[in-house]
Amino acid sequence: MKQIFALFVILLTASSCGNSVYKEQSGTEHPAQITLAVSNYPLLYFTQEIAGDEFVVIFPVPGDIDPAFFEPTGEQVSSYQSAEIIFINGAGYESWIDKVSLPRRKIVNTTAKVSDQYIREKGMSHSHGPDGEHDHAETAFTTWLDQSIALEQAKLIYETLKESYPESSELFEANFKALEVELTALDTQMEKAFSSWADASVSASHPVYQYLGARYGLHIYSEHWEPGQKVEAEDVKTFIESLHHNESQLMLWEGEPHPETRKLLEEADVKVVVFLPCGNRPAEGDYLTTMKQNLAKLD
Amino acid sequence: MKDSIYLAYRYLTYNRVRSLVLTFSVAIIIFLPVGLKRLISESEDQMLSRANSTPLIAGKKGSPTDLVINTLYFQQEKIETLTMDYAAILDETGFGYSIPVMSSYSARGFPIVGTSLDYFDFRNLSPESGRLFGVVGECVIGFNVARRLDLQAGDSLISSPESFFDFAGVYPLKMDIVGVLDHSNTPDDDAIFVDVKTTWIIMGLGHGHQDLVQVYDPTIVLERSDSTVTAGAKLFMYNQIDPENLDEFHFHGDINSYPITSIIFIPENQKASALLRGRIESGEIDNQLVVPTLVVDNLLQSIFRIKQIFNSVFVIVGLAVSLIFGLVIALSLRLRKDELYTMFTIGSGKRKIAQIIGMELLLLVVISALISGIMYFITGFFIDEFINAFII
Amino acid sequence: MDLKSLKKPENCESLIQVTNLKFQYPRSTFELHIPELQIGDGEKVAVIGPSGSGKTTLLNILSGIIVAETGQVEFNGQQINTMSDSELRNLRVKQIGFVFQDFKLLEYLNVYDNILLPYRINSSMPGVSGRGSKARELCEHLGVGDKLSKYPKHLSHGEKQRIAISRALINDPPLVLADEPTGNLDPDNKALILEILFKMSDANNSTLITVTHDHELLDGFDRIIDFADFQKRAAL
Repeated sequence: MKQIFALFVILLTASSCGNSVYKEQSGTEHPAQITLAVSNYPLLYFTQEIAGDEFVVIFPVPGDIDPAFFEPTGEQVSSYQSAEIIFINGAGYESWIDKVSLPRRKIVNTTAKVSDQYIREKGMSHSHGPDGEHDHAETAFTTWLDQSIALEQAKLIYETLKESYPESSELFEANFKALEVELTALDTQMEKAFSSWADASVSASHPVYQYLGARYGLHIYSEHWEPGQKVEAEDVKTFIESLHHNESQLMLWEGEPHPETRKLLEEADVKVVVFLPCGNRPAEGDYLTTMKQNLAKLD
Repeated sequence: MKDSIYLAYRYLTYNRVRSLVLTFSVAIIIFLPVGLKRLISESEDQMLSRANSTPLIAGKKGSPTDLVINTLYFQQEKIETLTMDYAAILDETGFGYSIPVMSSYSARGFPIVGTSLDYFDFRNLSPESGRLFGVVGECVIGFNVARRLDLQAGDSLISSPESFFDFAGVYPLKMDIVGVLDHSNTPDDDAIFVDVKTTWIIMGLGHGHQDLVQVYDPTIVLERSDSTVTAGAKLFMYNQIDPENLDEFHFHGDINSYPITSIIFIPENQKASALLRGRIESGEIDNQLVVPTLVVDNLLQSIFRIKQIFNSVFVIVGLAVSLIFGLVIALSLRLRKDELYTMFTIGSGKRKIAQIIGMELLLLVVISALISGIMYFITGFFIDEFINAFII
Repeated sequence: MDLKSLKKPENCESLIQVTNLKFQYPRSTFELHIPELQIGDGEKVAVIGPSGSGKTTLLNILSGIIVAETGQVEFNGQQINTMSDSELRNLRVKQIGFVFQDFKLLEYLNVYDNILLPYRINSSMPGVSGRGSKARELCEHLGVGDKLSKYPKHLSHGEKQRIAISRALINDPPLVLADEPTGNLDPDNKALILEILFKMSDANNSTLITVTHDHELLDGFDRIIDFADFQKRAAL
């Protein structure tokens, strides 16, 4: 009798262990390698952070090209076509997207829910033929520089992944929450860092900091100067004069300016800060470290 | 019995022309209703199959039949267009996903269908050779298009101008063929597929030309200011898209306001379909949303009535042919009176003579049925193509 | 003509015995009346007489095609006027050979099939297999051995009649009825055909009854029955 009881207990225990193992396995069960695609580095970072290692995230833009002006080859288009989900920045960032064919249902515009916050700027118009004038009105597209929008973009990535792969939703949630903490903290840090420049004359080498300015209370005047290219002294002089001799002058550059240009600006007491927009992969570090490094340069 | 068959066979083969005429007449009169029944039945099946595989079609308010015919069978009836943003509106309901369709232009007699890559997943179409389109200006052609026009991946097709004399209107675009689709036995075999954006380029809503900001030719640039450049008619519009000029192609205005002829909507489930239909019917969302099966079924009811008429005609024609057949046999027997009397004289009974004549008729009917059967069998090889070419 | 012509020669077995035969076609005033007629085995009998005198009718009665209302017709010991239809046609196909003025070959059968026709049209006959050699033999004998695969439209009148005779003799009948067999032939062929008929009759010991209008060819017959005499006798 005792032996039968013991056997029964053993069997019951064994079956329970088996059950819990099955649940554990099903709880941590991951889909086979699924490919996701993104159109810029911030989205790459967010997606990798949220999805984890079980997903392959492709970002076919070469490292030396600004993803906003990317012109994909046929092979690169094919790699996008083969992805299960394609996360795009939206706000007109992907100028190439109107010329390529991607599965519509796989495209997720990460700024769709914040499109009311898009910043529109008048572009160059031209006219020909009977239709009259038509301009290529431009929407500012470096949305992630506003960390609150970046968080929304990350959130949309999280929600999309959760809906598409519910079996991994717990993982996604945990990962997103961690990212949310980081981005929220970064937002606070940026707000604090730029608060001291609120009354300053802030300019930029290129019109890429619109969302930064809008979020953190900066009125940014933009030139169209290329990093690394020497700006004519006359143009620098004109620029400096336009600053109206404001005591506090900051110029944000998306890349290292020409040494002579830097010298001219610094001689005019303009603080030149290379604030990497981080549209593509940074040379070192990641999105968060790069943004923190950007902020550190403001001090 | 063997001898009767032999004599009947000898008679029929000796009177070859008469036998052939009678045989084929009867074969045709047997085949016609049966063949027509098969044709209609197969057409119905194919039309219904195509309709059944398409859950919902959205379009501008108007004739549901024209909408369905345009979307499913690419018959380019003039229908009102709706705007591209409607696809996003439907997607935002969360009830499923949209596939835009723009079927309004043609190339060398075949319809150009602008759509998205989702269409191929939805219809289970894949390239037999080459690949699906990747950029604007590329096209994928159906199996029959490739065969009839002798085209393959690497060749090109030029879209037909809307109006030969309307030089300011739709102008031809040279499209690169990048793939040929597998044979599907559907209207997809007879279509040229492009990205919907390519159809907008054909329409002239998008185009490519030299960057006017960079052009200083005074014969091209008429006026220039800080914010505007005005060009004259000399400005050359590219009529082919290649890697060198792809970047120069652009669309004017909001792409979401661009036209499409319809949207195929794939709902998540029956409930989602019903909810969406409810929203459309209540006017919460504009335009019309049709269930293709219901529309095609209605259309087939009309075809069914025509089939009934055809059947009646065939019965009458069959009766007439039978009467003529009977008359020919009767006249033939009268002419053969002497021959039959000879057989009687030398020792044949009337029953035997009747058996011989009966065998002649039976052989005629059997051969007719056989020919009719062969025609029916052969029809099977061509019926799909016939349906796709002339019916669907 | 001597009444004796109506009786068979004494040294012959009686093949046909007609007694008190009377026949009248419906809606006709003509009546065939034969009080007595005997025809023996192997006899070659010519039947002559004016048109409409009943010569062909006699052949039809003797072969059972027509059944007389009155009188008796005995063929080979059998009363044929009481036979059933199937018995009569079996009699015709097995025991009587027919030769016609207009040959009556079937246009859609070749010579070989025409000769073997009797085997195909009556199920009491054995099948055609094994009969081919007989057909070829007859054709060879009658000088048309090279015509077996030909169709009647490719043959001359004389050739056609020889083939018709082959058909009539294919199953060795004891009686051959020839109705104007030379009527459509030229003089040379007339003599030839009659010579063939006589030879085959002698060879097979079969009785030949020939209706003819060719009085110059009557020499070869054993007996001549003149129907003009019948009419006179009937009138008496």
